[in-house]
Amino acid sequence: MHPALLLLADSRLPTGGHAHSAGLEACVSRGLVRGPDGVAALLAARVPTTGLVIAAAAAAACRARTTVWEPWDAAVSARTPVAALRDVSRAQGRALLRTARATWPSPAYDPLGARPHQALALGVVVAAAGGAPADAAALAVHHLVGQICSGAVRLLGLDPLTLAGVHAGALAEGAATVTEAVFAGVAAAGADDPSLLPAATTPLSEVLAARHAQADGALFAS
Amino acid sequence: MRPDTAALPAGGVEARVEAHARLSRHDGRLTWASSPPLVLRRTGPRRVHLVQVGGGPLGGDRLRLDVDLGPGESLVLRTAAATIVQPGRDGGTARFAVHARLGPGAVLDWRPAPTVVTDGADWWASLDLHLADGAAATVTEQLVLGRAGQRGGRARSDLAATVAGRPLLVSSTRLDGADPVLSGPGGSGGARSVGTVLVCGSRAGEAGGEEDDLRWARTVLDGPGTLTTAVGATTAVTRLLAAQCPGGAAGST
Repeated sequence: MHPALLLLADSRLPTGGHAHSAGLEACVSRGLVRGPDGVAALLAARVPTTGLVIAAAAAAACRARTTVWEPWDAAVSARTPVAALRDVSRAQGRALLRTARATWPSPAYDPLGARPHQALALGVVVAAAGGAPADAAALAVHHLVGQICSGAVRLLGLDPLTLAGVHAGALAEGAATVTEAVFAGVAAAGADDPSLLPAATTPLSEVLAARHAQADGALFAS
Repeated sequence: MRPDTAALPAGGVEARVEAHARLSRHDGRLTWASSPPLVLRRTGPRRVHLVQVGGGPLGGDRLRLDVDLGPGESLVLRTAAATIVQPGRDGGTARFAVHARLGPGAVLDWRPAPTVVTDGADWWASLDLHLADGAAATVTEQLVLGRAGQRGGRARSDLAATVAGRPLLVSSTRLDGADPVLSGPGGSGGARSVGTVLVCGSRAGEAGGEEDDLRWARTVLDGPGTLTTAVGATTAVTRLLAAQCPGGAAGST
C-alpha cells in the first residue's frame, strides 16, 4: 500500500469529517438506533446503498481522464436529492481539496472548481497521491463507516471494544461494495458517461437527513 | 387468470408475460397501442387509464409503457386499480418500465394507484422521464410492503429525470420487507409503505413532518424540481400524498 493512502484514511487529516455522523444522530435521537446491533443494522443498509454510490463516484473520478467535471458534478447532485446533503458533500470536498493542495500538490484539482462533491474530490486526490480507483472506493466506504462508528461512541457511549467489532464487521462486509463500486466507477469513467454511476438508496435515510438539517440543536451537521 | 396471449414454454415452466404499450399525443391528437395484460383506455380528452388485465404482474413478467408528448400537450395518466405484485413460480423479478418523453411546454401527471408487493414477490419498477425545456411533470407513487398481515416482498423503484438533457434526479430505492437490514433503521425503519412525489419543472420550498405513523420530507433538487418522500403506515402515506398533490385525493382530474 502507498503510504500516502494511510494519511488519506486517517481521521487526523483535517477534512472536516468529524462533524458528521452520516445519518446516525437522526436515528439515535428518534430511538431507532440504541446499541451496537442497531449501529450494525444501520451500517449494513447504508454501505451497499449510499456507500456504493459515493465509492463508485470516487473510483470513477480517480480513473477519469477529464478536465470537464460538470457532467460528473451534475450526476452526483442528481444522486443526492437531499439539498442539505449536497451542501455537506461540497463542504467536505472543499475541505479535502484545501488539505490536498498542502499535502499532494497537483494541477488536477483546479478543474474541479471551488466546491466539488466530496466523492469526486476524493477520487482526484487519491490519483494525485498515487492511488488507484480501488483505493478511492475503499476510502469512501472507510470514511462512511468511520463517521457512523465514531458518532456511535459520542452519541451512544458504547463500549469501544464492542464497537470496534461492529466497525471491523462492517468493513469486512463492505469489501463486496468496494468491488462493485470499482467495477461500476471504472466502467463509467472508461465510457466517459456519468449516467452509468449507481444510484441505490433507502427511503428513511433520505427523509431523516432532510429532517435533521431542518432541526435545531443537533450535535452533528449530518 | 393469465392471458392466453402468453405462450407457455415447453417443460412446464411458468409462462412469462411480455407487453409493450405506447401512448402519444401530438398536435392535439391522442394515439395509443396496447394489448393484454397492459391495456390503455381513454377516459377523458386529456386522460388515459392504464388497466392491468389478467391478475399480474407475476415474477418473470416484463411490462413496458412508452409515453410521448409533443410540444404543449398535456396528459393525465392513471391506473384503474392497485397493482398487486405476486411471486412467479420460478421466483423471477417482475419488471415494469415506463419511459416518458415530454416536448417543450408539455405537462404529464402520472399517478398510479399503490403497488402492493406481496410476500415472496420481487418487483422492479422504473420511470425514465426526459423533459424538454419548459416541460413539467408530477409523478406520485406509493409502494406497500405486503398485504395485511404480510411483511412484504422485495422492491426496487428507479426514478430518473432529466430536464433539457441535464440530470435532475437519479435514484434507485431498495425495499425488502423480509430483510431485517432493509426494513431496519438504515432502510424503511419497519414502515409498511413508502410514497414519493417528484415534481419536475417547478420549485416549492422545503417541508416535512413527523407523526407516530409517518415521517416525510420535501427537498429541493439541484434543478427545477422537488422530491417528497414519505415513510410510514399505508393510510398515513396515502393521506400525505393526497395532500401533496395538486389533483387531490381522488386524483381523477
